[in-house]
Amino acid sequence: MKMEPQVVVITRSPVSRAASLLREAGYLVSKVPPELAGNHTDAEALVVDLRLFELIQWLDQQHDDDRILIIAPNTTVIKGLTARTVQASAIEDDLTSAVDRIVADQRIAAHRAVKVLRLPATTRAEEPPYSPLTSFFGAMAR
Amino acid sequence: MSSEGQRKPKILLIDDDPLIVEAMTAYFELAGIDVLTFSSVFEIPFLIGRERPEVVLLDISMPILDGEKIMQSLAERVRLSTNFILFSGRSRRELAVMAEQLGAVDCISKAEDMASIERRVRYWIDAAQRQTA
Repeated sequence: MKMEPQVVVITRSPVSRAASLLREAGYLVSKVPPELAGNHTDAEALVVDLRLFELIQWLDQQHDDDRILIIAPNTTVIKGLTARTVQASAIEDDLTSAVDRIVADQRIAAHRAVKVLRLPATTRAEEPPYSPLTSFFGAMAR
Repeated sequence: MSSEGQRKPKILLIDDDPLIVEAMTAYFELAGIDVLTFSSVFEIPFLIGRERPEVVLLDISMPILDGEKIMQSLAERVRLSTNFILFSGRSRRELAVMAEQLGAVDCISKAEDMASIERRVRYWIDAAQRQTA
Protein backbone atom coordinates (compact mmCIF):
# COMPACT_ATOMS: atom_id res chain seq x y z
CA MET A 1 0.00 0.00 0.00
CA LYS A 2 1.54 3.32 -1.09
CA MET A 3 1.77 5.70 1.84
CA GLU A 4 1.74 9.48 1.78
CA PRO A 5 5.09 10.89 2.94
CA GLN A 6 5.36 11.48 6.67
CA VAL A 7 6.80 14.74 7.91
CA VAL A 8 7.49 15.81 11.47
CA VAL A 9 7.28 19.49 12.32
CA ILE A 10 9.33 20.21 15.44
CA THR A 11 7.80 23.22 17.09
CA ARG A 12 6.38 24.58 20.32
CA SER A 13 3.85 26.71 18.56
CA PRO A 14 0.24 25.51 19.02
CA VAL A 15 -0.59 26.90 15.58
CA SER A 16 2.09 26.28 12.98
CA ARG A 17 1.89 27.77 9.50
CA ALA A 18 4.45 25.20 8.35
CA ALA A 19 2.26 22.29 9.46
CA SER A 20 -0.72 23.86 7.77
CA LEU A 21 1.14 24.34 4.46
CA LEU A 22 2.43 20.77 4.48
CA ARG A 23 -1.01 19.28 5.24
CA GLU A 24 -2.39 21.33 2.40
CA ALA A 25 0.22 19.72 0.14
CA GLY A 26 -1.00 16.26 1.21
CA TYR A 27 1.74 15.32 3.67
CA LEU A 28 0.97 13.37 6.83
CA VAL A 29 2.17 15.85 9.42
CA SER A 30 2.96 15.16 13.07
CA LYS A 31 3.68 18.18 15.22
CA VAL A 32 5.97 17.52 18.18
CA PRO A 33 8.02 19.50 20.70
CA PRO A 34 11.83 19.12 20.32
CA GLU A 35 12.21 16.68 23.22
CA LEU A 36 9.89 14.18 21.47
CA ALA A 37 11.38 14.49 17.99
CA GLY A 38 13.57 11.42 18.52
CA ASN A 39 10.48 9.18 18.64
CA HIS A 40 9.76 9.81 14.97
CA THR A 41 12.52 7.83 13.32
CA ASP A 42 10.34 6.81 10.37
CA ALA A 43 9.64 10.38 9.20
CA GLU A 44 10.94 11.26 5.75
CA ALA A 45 11.59 14.89 6.65
CA LEU A 46 12.05 16.81 9.90
CA VAL A 47 11.02 20.44 9.65
CA VAL A 48 12.42 22.45 12.55
CA ASP A 49 10.41 25.54 13.43
CA LEU A 50 11.82 26.78 16.73
CA ARG A 51 12.82 30.09 18.21
CA LEU A 52 16.47 30.96 17.67
CA PHE A 53 17.80 30.05 21.12
CA GLU A 54 16.05 26.69 21.22
CA LEU A 55 16.95 26.00 17.59
CA ILE A 56 20.66 26.36 18.37
CA GLN A 57 20.32 24.12 21.44
CA TRP A 58 18.46 21.47 19.45
CA LEU A 59 20.94 21.55 16.57
CA ASP A 60 23.84 21.10 19.01
CA GLN A 61 22.37 17.73 20.04
CA GLN A 62 21.85 16.43 16.49
CA HIS A 63 24.08 14.31 14.28
CA ASP A 64 24.20 14.88 10.55
CA ASP A 65 20.79 14.05 9.20
CA ASP A 66 19.78 14.68 5.58
CA ARG A 67 16.12 14.79 6.58
CA ILE A 68 16.43 18.04 8.53
CA LEU A 69 15.02 21.26 7.12
CA ILE A 70 15.30 24.36 9.25
CA ILE A 71 12.94 27.28 9.12
CA ALA A 72 15.49 29.96 9.86
CA PRO A 73 14.12 32.77 12.01
CA ASN A 74 16.55 35.23 10.43
CA THR A 75 19.36 35.33 7.88
CA THR A 76 22.22 35.33 10.42
CA VAL A 77 21.39 31.76 11.41
CA ILE A 78 21.80 30.41 7.90
CA LYS A 79 25.53 31.23 7.68
CA GLY A 80 26.63 28.71 10.30
CA LEU A 81 24.37 25.85 9.24
CA THR A 82 25.08 22.79 7.14
CA ALA A 83 21.45 21.62 7.20
CA ARG A 84 19.03 22.79 4.53
CA THR A 85 17.14 25.94 5.38
CA VAL A 86 14.25 28.04 4.26
CA GLN A 87 13.71 31.51 5.59
CA ALA A 88 10.70 32.03 7.82
CA SER A 89 9.58 34.91 5.61
CA ALA A 90 9.59 32.68 2.51
CA ILE A 91 7.84 29.53 3.72
CA GLU A 92 4.67 30.21 1.74
CA ASP A 93 6.68 29.88 -1.49
CA ASP A 94 9.59 27.62 -0.56
CA LEU A 95 8.62 25.20 2.20
CA THR A 96 6.66 22.61 0.24
CA SER A 97 9.18 22.35 -2.59
CA ALA A 98 12.09 22.11 -0.11
CA VAL A 99 10.33 19.24 1.72
CA ASP A 100 9.48 17.63 -1.65
CA ARG A 101 13.21 17.59 -2.47
CA ILE A 102 14.14 16.01 0.87
CA VAL A 103 11.47 13.32 0.51
CA ALA A 104 12.53 12.64 -3.09
CA ASP A 105 16.19 12.32 -1.99
CA GLN A 106 15.18 9.94 0.80
CA ARG A 107 13.15 7.78 -1.56
CA ILE A 108 15.89 7.71 -4.21
CA ALA A 109 18.44 6.70 -1.55
CA ALA A 110 16.07 4.00 -0.24
CA HIS A 111 15.46 2.74 -3.80
CA ARG A 112 19.23 2.51 -4.41
CA ALA A 113 19.70 0.63 -1.15
CA VAL A 114 17.01 -1.88 -2.18
CA LYS A 115 18.74 -2.37 -5.56
CA VAL A 116 22.05 -3.10 -3.88
CA LEU A 117 20.35 -5.58 -1.55
CA ARG A 118 18.78 -7.36 -4.52
CA LEU A 119 22.08 -7.86 -6.40
CA PRO A 120 22.95 -11.30 -4.96
CA ALA A 121 19.47 -12.54 -5.90
CA THR A 122 20.10 -11.56 -9.56
CA THR A 123 23.33 -13.57 -9.52
CA ARG A 124 21.54 -16.58 -8.13
CA ALA A 125 18.91 -16.36 -10.88
CA GLU A 126 21.57 -17.37 -13.46
CA GLU A 127 21.72 -20.85 -11.93
CA PRO A 128 19.18 -23.36 -13.34
CA PRO A 129 15.92 -23.22 -11.42
CA TYR A 130 15.15 -26.04 -9.05
CA SER A 131 12.80 -28.78 -10.31
CA PRO A 132 12.17 -32.29 -9.00
CA LEU A 133 13.38 -33.76 -12.33
CA THR A 134 16.73 -31.94 -12.46
CA SER A 135 17.18 -32.76 -8.83
CA PHE A 136 16.49 -36.48 -9.54
CA PHE A 137 18.83 -36.67 -12.56
CA GLY A 138 21.46 -34.70 -10.68
CA ALA A 139 21.33 -37.27 -7.90
CA MET A 140 21.53 -40.17 -10.46
CA ALA A 141 24.58 -38.60 -12.12
CA ARG A 142 26.35 -38.40 -8.76
CA MET B 1 1.70 -5.33 24.41
CA SER B 2 -1.40 -4.58 26.42
CA SER B 3 -4.84 -5.90 25.46
CA GLU B 4 -5.76 -2.26 24.70
CA GLY B 5 -3.18 -2.29 21.92
CA GLN B 6 -4.63 -5.44 20.34
CA ARG B 7 -8.30 -4.44 20.25
CA LYS B 8 -10.07 -3.74 16.99
CA PRO B 9 -9.51 -0.11 16.05
CA LYS B 10 -12.44 2.28 16.44
CA ILE B 11 -13.26 5.54 14.78
CA LEU B 12 -16.05 7.96 15.62
CA LEU B 13 -17.69 9.41 12.54
CA ILE B 14 -19.41 12.77 13.05
CA ASP B 15 -21.35 13.58 9.92
CA ASP B 16 -25.00 14.49 9.51
CA ASP B 17 -25.35 13.04 6.00
CA PRO B 18 -26.87 9.54 6.40
CA LEU B 19 -25.59 8.44 2.99
CA ILE B 20 -21.99 9.34 3.87
CA VAL B 21 -22.35 7.65 7.27
CA GLU B 22 -23.74 4.49 5.68
CA ALA B 23 -21.11 4.30 2.95
CA MET B 24 -18.18 5.07 5.27
CA THR B 25 -19.42 2.63 7.92
CA ALA B 26 -19.74 -0.17 5.36
CA TYR B 27 -16.28 0.56 3.94
CA PHE B 28 -14.45 0.77 7.26
CA GLU B 29 -16.25 -2.25 8.79
CA LEU B 30 -15.10 -4.30 5.79
CA ALA B 31 -11.59 -2.97 6.37
CA GLY B 32 -11.68 -4.23 9.98
CA ILE B 33 -12.30 -0.88 11.67
CA ASP B 34 -15.29 -0.36 13.99
CA VAL B 35 -17.28 2.78 13.24
CA LEU B 36 -19.12 4.57 16.04
CA THR B 37 -21.90 6.95 15.17
CA PHE B 38 -23.91 9.26 17.41
CA SER B 39 -27.57 9.99 17.85
CA SER B 40 -27.28 13.34 19.64
CA VAL B 41 -24.58 15.98 19.63
CA PHE B 42 -24.55 15.89 23.45
CA GLU B 43 -23.52 12.24 23.29
CA ILE B 44 -20.21 12.98 21.55
CA PRO B 45 -18.00 13.76 24.61
CA PHE B 46 -19.37 10.69 26.43
CA LEU B 47 -18.81 8.48 23.39
CA ILE B 48 -15.21 9.66 23.13
CA GLY B 49 -14.63 9.13 26.86
CA ARG B 50 -16.31 5.72 27.03
CA GLU B 51 -15.28 4.13 23.73
CA ARG B 52 -11.89 5.82 23.33
CA PRO B 53 -11.86 5.82 19.53
CA GLU B 54 -8.38 6.14 18.03
CA VAL B 55 -9.65 8.66 15.51
CA VAL B 56 -12.58 11.06 15.32
CA LEU B 57 -13.53 11.90 11.75
CA LEU B 58 -15.37 15.21 12.00
CA ASP B 59 -17.30 16.84 9.19
CA ILE B 60 -16.51 20.49 9.73
CA SER B 61 -19.16 21.89 7.40
CA MET B 62 -22.47 20.38 8.39
CA PRO B 63 -25.49 22.59 7.69
CA ILE B 64 -27.26 21.93 11.00
CA LEU B 65 -24.49 20.87 13.39
CA ASP B 66 -21.41 23.06 13.38
CA GLY B 67 -18.32 20.86 13.44
CA GLU B 68 -16.13 23.79 14.46
CA LYS B 69 -18.33 24.50 17.49
CA ILE B 70 -18.47 20.81 18.39
CA MET B 71 -14.69 20.69 18.53
CA GLN B 72 -14.37 23.96 20.44
CA SER B 73 -16.93 22.79 22.99
CA LEU B 74 -14.98 19.65 23.85
CA ALA B 75 -12.74 19.85 26.87
CA GLU B 76 -9.06 20.48 26.06
CA ARG B 77 -8.18 17.14 27.68
CA VAL B 78 -10.47 15.31 25.22
CA ARG B 79 -9.12 17.25 22.25
CA LEU B 80 -5.51 16.61 23.12
CA SER B 81 -5.92 12.91 23.83
CA THR B 82 -7.84 12.10 20.64
CA ASN B 83 -6.75 12.31 17.01
CA PHE B 84 -9.30 14.54 15.32
CA ILE B 85 -9.34 14.57 11.53
CA LEU B 86 -11.34 17.24 9.78
CA PHE B 87 -13.40 15.75 6.98
CA SER B 88 -15.19 18.00 4.57
CA GLY B 89 -15.95 18.95 1.02
CA ARG B 90 -14.08 22.24 1.48
CA SER B 91 -10.77 22.92 -0.24
CA ARG B 92 -7.64 21.31 1.18
CA ARG B 93 -6.12 24.74 1.80
CA GLU B 94 -9.07 25.86 3.90
CA LEU B 95 -9.16 22.56 5.79
CA ALA B 96 -5.42 22.61 6.54
CA VAL B 97 -5.68 26.07 8.11
CA MET B 98 -8.73 25.06 10.15
CA ALA B 99 -7.06 21.84 11.31
CA GLU B 100 -4.14 23.83 12.66
CA GLN B 101 -6.37 26.38 14.38
CA LEU B 102 -8.65 23.77 15.95
CA GLY B 103 -5.88 21.36 16.95
CA ALA B 104 -6.82 18.54 14.57
CA VAL B 105 -4.04 16.19 13.50
CA ASP B 106 -5.05 15.96 9.86
CA CYS B 107 -7.62 16.92 7.28
CA ILE B 108 -9.22 14.91 4.53
CA SER B 109 -11.26 16.22 1.66
CA LYS B 110 -14.41 14.26 0.82
CA ALA B 111 -13.25 14.40 -2.79
CA GLU B 112 -10.38 12.01 -2.03
CA ASP B 113 -10.75 8.37 -2.96
CA MET B 114 -11.62 5.85 -0.26
CA ALA B 115 -8.25 4.10 -0.41
CA SER B 116 -6.48 7.37 0.32
CA ILE B 117 -8.94 8.19 3.14
CA GLU B 118 -8.36 4.74 4.64
CA ARG B 119 -4.55 5.15 4.47
CA ARG B 120 -4.67 8.44 6.34
CA VAL B 121 -7.12 7.13 8.95
CA ARG B 122 -5.00 4.01 9.50
CA TYR B 123 -1.87 6.12 9.92
CA TRP B 124 -3.49 7.99 12.82
CA ILE B 125 -4.99 4.80 14.28
CA ASP B 126 -1.46 3.32 14.34
CA ALA B 127 -0.10 6.52 15.89
CA ALA B 128 -2.76 6.37 18.66
CA GLN B 129 -2.08 2.69 19.31
CA ARG B 130 1.68 3.32 19.51
CA GLN B 131 1.03 6.01 22.12
CA THR B 132 -1.13 3.78 24.30
CA ALA B 133 1.07 0.66 23.94
